[in-house]
Amino acid sequence: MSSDPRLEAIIEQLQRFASGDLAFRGEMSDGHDELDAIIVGLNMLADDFLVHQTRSRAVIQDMAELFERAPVMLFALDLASGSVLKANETMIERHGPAERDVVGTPLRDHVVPMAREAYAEALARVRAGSDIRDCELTLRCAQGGEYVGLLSATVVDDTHRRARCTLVDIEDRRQLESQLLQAQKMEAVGRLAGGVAHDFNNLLTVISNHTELARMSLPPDGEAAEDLAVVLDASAKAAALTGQLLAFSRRQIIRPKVLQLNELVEHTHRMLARLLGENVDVVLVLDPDCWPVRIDSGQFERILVNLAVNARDAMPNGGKLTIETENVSLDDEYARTHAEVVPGDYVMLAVTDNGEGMAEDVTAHVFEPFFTTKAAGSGTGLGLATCYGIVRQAGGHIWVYSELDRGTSFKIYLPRVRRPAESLPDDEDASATRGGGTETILVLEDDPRVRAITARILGTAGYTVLEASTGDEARAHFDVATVDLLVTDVVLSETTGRKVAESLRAVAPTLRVVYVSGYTDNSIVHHGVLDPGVDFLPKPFRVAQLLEIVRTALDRR
Amino acid sequence: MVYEDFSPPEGARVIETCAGLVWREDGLVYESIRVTHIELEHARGLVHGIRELVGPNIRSRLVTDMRSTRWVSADARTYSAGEEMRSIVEAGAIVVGSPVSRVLASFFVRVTAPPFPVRLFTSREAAEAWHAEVGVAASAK
Repeated sequence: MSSDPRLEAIIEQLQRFASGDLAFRGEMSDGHDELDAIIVGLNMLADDFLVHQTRSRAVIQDMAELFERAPVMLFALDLASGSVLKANETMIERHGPAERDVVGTPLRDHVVPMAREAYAEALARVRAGSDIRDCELTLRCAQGGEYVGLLSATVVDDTHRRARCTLVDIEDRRQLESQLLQAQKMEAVGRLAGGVAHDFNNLLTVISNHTELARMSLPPDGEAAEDLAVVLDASAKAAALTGQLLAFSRRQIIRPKVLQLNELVEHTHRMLARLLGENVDVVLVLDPDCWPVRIDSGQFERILVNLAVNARDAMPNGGKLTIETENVSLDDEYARTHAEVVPGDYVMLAVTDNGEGMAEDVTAHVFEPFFTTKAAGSGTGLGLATCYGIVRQAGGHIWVYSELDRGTSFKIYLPRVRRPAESLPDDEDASATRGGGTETILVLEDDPRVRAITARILGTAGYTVLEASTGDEARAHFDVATVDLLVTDVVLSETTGRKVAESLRAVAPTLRVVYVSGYTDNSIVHHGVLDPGVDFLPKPFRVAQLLEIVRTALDRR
Repeated sequence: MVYEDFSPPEGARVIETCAGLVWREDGLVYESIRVTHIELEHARGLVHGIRELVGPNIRSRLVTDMRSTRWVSADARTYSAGEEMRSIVEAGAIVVGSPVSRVLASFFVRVTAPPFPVRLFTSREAAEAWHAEVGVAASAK
């Protein structure tokens, strides 16, 4: 039986479609009848199908790429066996190294024993048809070590036999949270310590100076003088302690300069060698092209000495202490995993020993004030806390890395300064204190005890002393007397020493001023950094220090 | 084949595109497609022709004569149902005749689904009546 050749063509096209050949197109006649319409329709269906097929393949390809390259672990789980059916590269990288180490293995095998009960409960929920979100589990990595991950699973609707799962490693996040918490704790303790130290300094000023004056009035070889010497010694130790507390709380008054760390390290090196003894070999590995940094040289010495002494104590049988400097650039990735770090250029100072090292629970607390592993009476627990405060006050960061029986490394990062380094300050002049004179000095201080002792010291040294507790009283003295020098507290109850000094200088332009304060943030000290050209005496001060700065200020007139 | 009932009136401004003629009459824009196979460049030519006739960014009501058409490529259909077409078409009436043109137009309306109202008609008068109705409904809103 013969049939219309166009019907034959339609049948052939349908057969080809059935066999997957979508490229075939039916030939139309010149007409516009129903058979041509069917051929046109089939051709258009084939066209559309091909377009959708191409698009679908592209979408599937995109999805597959996303699955494989996703930075989180993605996998499918067989709910009956609990085995991984398919896993992406991130999952295999973490739990492999080969695909067969992951695919086909129960997920339970990758969960640490302690967390398996939690995992079993989560799996039971999924098996019962419930999705789970952010189930916290500790898992074991293929390369060793453990991490905390959040497991989420969505049951595949059609079968209830599979679940699509994500596993997000939150180890970095947890560490960052812990670092932030630690930083906040240190900040709070610092504020507390700074507040206590400030009040204590005022008291120490009164105690130590009265004691010193009392001792000066006694015969030097008498029993009472010896007793007072003990009080003075204890006062000095207390002042040193409060100084450390202030350093930890970043409230110490500093005179930072732009300096080369290498010069500072070399300058301190000889002293360290003596301090550490023959059994400790000090090795310097200094980058000759180190960038300049801004830091107080005296404080930097304290850091090095503190770290070196700790290293020495960690190497009772001797060892090697390596001090390194190096330029480093901390990028966004580093900042992401280290709380409070601002990306940028830094100079790194590493102080590393090969001593006993510390356990993890010890390193977690080393920078906290009064935390010490030394025997009672052997350490104040303020050495590393001081280092922490000094580094933070300099805008830097300090980190500790330690392994038991391997050693400890402290790494300090100080921000690069894009200015040429200045020369190192000369060692302090240890010559005898210059003191005494006959000039007229006005003491402005609102604490009556501190004002009284200040006036007494200056009076004993031969000066004519006027006392004032307020700015108005100070101005009243000026109306009737010629004042050569103003010694003023910076923070007064109703005004500031600076304002009073400026108003007096309007009357007497050559008036010299010595500022005294226990605060590190006020009108002349900003975040512990002094305004240039200011004569400043921090509390607690001693007789000699007061007389020295007063004489120096008067002689500069 | 050119249908007599679908020719521009005397004196009308006519744009001749690679696919056919475009003109304006009584507030509607007419397209007389005079190629049998519409490819992507034909569809683009028609859009440019409409823009030239009415100006850019003006949406018109369109009457398209597809009775001579025997094939529309997938690219041309996709383009004719895309954003560019939407920017110049408010509503479209397609005049079909043969079973082939009915199938082609049905694919455009149902499968490609343009983002503006489209209806199929078998005569120019029916298409114009629908536009009048759509126009009244739209102006009543």
